[in-house]
Amino acid sequence: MDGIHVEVTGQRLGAAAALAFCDAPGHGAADLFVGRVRDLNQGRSVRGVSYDVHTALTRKIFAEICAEAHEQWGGGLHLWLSHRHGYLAVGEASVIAAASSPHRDESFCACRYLVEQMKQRAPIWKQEHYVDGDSEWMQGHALCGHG
Amino acid sequence: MQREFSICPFGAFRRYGEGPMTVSVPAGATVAELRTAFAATLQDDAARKLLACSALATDDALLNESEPLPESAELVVLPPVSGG
Repeated sequence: MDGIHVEVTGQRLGAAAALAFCDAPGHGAADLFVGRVRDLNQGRSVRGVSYDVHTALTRKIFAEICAEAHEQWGGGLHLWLSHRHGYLAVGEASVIAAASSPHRDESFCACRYLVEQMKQRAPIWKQEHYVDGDSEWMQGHALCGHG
Repeated sequence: MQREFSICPFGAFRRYGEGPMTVSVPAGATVAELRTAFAATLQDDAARKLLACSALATDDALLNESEPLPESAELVVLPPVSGG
C-alpha cells in the first residue's frame, strides 16, 4: 500500500530509515516514536527483554492499523511501523513508529495511534530477564476473537 | 469421525511446551468445542486460566468461538499481548 511500511525483524531498528520514509515535499510535519528496553520495571532491575512475535499475523495487523490511520487522518500520510523480535539488551529499540503529513496535528495523532493500537492488537509478547537471573512473561491485552 | 489439530504456543503459553500440542475433536466441532477439549488436555490450573483469556487463530486470522473449525489443522494459541 502506498505510503505504508510495516516490518518485523530480528535486526536492529534504525530511526533514520523511518524518518527517510516519512518524508515528502508536501509534508511539513514528521513524528517519530522509538520504544526502548528500560533497565527497571516494577522495582526489578532488567538486563534485557525477549520478544516473541507471530510474524505473519503481526504484519497483517500492522497493515490494518496503518490503513485505519490513513482512513482517519488522510491517505496521503506516510506511515512506518516496525517491531523487533528476539533478545534485546537494555537501551535497544524494540519498536519504531513514524508518521508524516502536511500539518502537525495529523502526524501527532497518527503516530500515537500506531503505537497504542500495536500494543493492544499485535501478537507480540515480552519476556523480561532480570539481573537476579529470573525471567517473567509480561501480562498484557487479551485479543478479541473469543468469549 | 475425529479431527486432530496441532496448536502452536506463543508468549507465556510456551511455559507449557515449546512444541505444538495436539487436540482431537469430532468433525464439525466449533472453535469453542476445540477450546474445551484443549483445556481438558492441560494439567495445570494456571494453564487453563491462561487459555481462558487467550485467542485461537490460524496463521492469518483470529477464530470466532461460534464458528466451525477451519480447514487448516495448524492453529496457534495467542495469550494476552504485550508488544512495544
